[in-house]
Amino acid sequence: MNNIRNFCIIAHIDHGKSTLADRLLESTGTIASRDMKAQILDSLTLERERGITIKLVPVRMNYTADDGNQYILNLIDTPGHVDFAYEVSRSLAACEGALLVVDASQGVEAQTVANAYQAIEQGLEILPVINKIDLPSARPDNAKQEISEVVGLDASDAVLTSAKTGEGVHDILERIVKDIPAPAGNPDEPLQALIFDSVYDNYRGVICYVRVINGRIRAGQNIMFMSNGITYPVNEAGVFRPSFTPVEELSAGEVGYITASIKTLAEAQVGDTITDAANPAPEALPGYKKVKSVVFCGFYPVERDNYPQLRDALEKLCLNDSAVTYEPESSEALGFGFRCGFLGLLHMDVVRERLREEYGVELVATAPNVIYEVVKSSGDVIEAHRPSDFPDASEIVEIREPYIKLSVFMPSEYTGRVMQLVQDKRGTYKSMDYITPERVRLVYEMPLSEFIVDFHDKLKSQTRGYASLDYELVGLRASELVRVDILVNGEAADAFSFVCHKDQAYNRGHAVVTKLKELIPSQLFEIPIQASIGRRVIVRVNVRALRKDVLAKCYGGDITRKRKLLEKQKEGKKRMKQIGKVAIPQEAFLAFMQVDSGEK
Amino acid sequence: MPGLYVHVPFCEKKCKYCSFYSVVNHESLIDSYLDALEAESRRLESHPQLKTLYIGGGTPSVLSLSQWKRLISIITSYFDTSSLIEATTEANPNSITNEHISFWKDNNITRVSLGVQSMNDGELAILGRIHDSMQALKAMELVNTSGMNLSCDLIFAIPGQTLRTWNDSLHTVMNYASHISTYQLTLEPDTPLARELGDTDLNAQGYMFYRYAQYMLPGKNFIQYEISSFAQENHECIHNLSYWNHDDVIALGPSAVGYIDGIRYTNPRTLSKYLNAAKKNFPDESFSREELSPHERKIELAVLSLRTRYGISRKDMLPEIEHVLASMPDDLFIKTPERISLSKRGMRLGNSIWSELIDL
Repeated sequence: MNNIRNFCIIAHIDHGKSTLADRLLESTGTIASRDMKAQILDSLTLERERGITIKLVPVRMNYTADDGNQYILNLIDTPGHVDFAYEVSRSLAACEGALLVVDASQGVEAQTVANAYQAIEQGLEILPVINKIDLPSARPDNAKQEISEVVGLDASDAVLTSAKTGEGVHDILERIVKDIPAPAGNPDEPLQALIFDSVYDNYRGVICYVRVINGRIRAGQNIMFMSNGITYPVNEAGVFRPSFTPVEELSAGEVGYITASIKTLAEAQVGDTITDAANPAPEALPGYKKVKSVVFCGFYPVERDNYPQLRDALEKLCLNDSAVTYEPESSEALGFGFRCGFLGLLHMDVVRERLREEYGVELVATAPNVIYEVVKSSGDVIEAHRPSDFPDASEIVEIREPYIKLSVFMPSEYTGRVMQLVQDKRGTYKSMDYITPERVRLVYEMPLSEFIVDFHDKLKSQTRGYASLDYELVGLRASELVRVDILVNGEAADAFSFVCHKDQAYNRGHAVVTKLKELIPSQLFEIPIQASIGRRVIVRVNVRALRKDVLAKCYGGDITRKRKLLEKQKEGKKRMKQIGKVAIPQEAFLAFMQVDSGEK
Repeated sequence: MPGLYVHVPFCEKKCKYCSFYSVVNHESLIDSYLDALEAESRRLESHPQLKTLYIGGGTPSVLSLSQWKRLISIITSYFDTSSLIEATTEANPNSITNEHISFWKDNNITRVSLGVQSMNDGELAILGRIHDSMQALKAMELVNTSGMNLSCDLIFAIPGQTLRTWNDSLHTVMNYASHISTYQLTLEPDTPLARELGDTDLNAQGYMFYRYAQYMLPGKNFIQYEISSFAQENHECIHNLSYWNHDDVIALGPSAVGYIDGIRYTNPRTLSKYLNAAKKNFPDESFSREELSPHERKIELAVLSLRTRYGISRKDMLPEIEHVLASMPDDLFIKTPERISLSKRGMRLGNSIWSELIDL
């Protein structure tokens, strides 16, 4: 156990985490250079294509240090993104140390700080690493300074490296051995193994990635999941080299995997503790919680006939991503589909692209939304997923919505613009400080619903891509929200109603009715389109009645052709959705839902 | 009694907007065409008394006097024309002559339909017409002097046309004609004008011209009795009304469409196919036929009847049609206890109304 080092890498997207991991594998001979693909540990094609890393597979390396001793180095990755904050915390709990990788020219970014703080909080030993020192723009001293000023860590002895050229990689390995403590724990105590990840395999069922804290685990042993009491006999225990390699036993301090013919991921949740069914530990490891979806959107097949394929694909996908929730729903514009819940926006994107890449399902996704909590005058508290879930305004005592704490790091020249942007999104100022004379950190609280719509894109355009952000959920807050209903020719058109802050109701109502006016074709009568809150109409526009729709000639030879034209005209109208007497084209629903088909 | 339609598929020059079937450089073909027309007439199963005759085209006035003699003799030798109440020929202002006029007059043609199209020379040039407004005036005077009834076609929504030029055209022809047909310029696929103008939306542009005609002509005693037809009292085109009443019409000539006993048939569509069919004495397969079910026929008849000011009688109406019409705004219709017809606004919006009736 003294020769084991369990560590992870904390880095901002693009700061070179995957390349560094590859270099470590190569230097320790875990993978021969001739077998190296670029960034071998990125297992999802999606991740490789986007050049971002959601999660690397764990890997075990053997390393003979300069002191002549053999060490086992377990690299456990943490997903770099805030959507996966819970998984990050579980991965960190499986390690004793972390490499904090900072780009020598970019400096510290928002997410890096959040993850580093979490690691420090969990008592991990942090090894600062300045990467990309081969770049002409590298300013390693500035990067060191930022680490000490922003994160508050002494970075004077940070390892300078270039994962690209291999410079400094040996130093990193030596520092891991020297600075990161060996795991504590006792192999003779009752088994406690932390599940820090689990994946689904078609042949073996669920594979649990575990860090054994106390005790031992081996094939044949009866284990129990402490959150739900379910027991299974272990089929196989093994380690990552990086392919799955069975071992006789995993004992305290070790990182590896087990299989036990577990059918669903729901039974083997990340963060749960595995113990020995015959000799259970007195208590589970701390920190287990069930993850909850915070961002929702509708997924619909592009071709309506493909609904069953989408359903099957979602079912399969959920086998290895237990954080996705889904339930059937139908839309007037899009037919049958599913309302899906995600940990965050990136998670949503990942799932959508996986459905496309891995399951070949072409789908359209509706604009994301959040769940509101409504306190009724009866005292009941209900969850409202969509505008139609809201009770009548007279029954509502209070509406609560999820809030986030948002940190934005950016060059100071953009401060004004970003403050304006956040305030427009109902953000409230918390703090501002200078990381360096040129860089600023702004902290705000804002509603999640405002954040998920287009905040990231707007932030990027306001700061030319120089800002980075991080957020965490800070709970539900009461807000002055209203449901705005849209009436088409006096009939409520549920598909167009929406929830927003009362101060935005007029502007957004105006935008919706104006858009509808553009998209609803003139018909035989004038069509009023209104936005209302309860019974109070706040905006009204009219679609002017059709003026002329006749081409003036029809004799013997024209009759059949004419009839076919009329049939075509009728077909066109059939494809529209009838609300009362008004035919509304699909484009109107699509525009309202801000649907996009996954093309970036 | 049925009507007879004879299609004369020859033109001096094709107009830029026209998608009707016709051929140019035809001198040598006219005699073969007349032979074929005779063969087609001969093989008809019955040769009934005719109620109306309509000689259309193409440009029937490009036929020479001797060719006209042959044409009329074919018709009179195969059909009983003693009860004809209307006989129309179409004509072009530049090919009409004194000789034509007196020949028609002598042979009981009662009505000349003149393709005036516009009284503005710039607009005529855009349409690619070969006549000018002077020739149109002369032709109208010729017909008037003969005592035959005159109908004039006018086109609206011509690129560059204004309400003023439209008004001028209407006013001029109104002095000569007892019947005016107003057609919106449509860009038919594969016509030179469609290629020139691309996908301009002329339908929307037609509104003001059409509405103006609907406003102005009735004040001058031209009643709109059909979507595109305005006539003084008792000058409606009886032949055309038979199309909108599902009355029988026998059709002769290439691409002509007839309707007999509920079956609509189309003759061979090109002159060469027509001449070939004639060589084999028009076997059945040279015609394409369409037979609608009784239900479909009722719906088609409702749509066609609603083109005219007489509309549709409530007692013949399918309940589903009545239901759909009742669901539409009232200002589209003129409703009496017996009939429903389209109002002026209804006529402007015909397609939107009729398309709701199709497929019921």
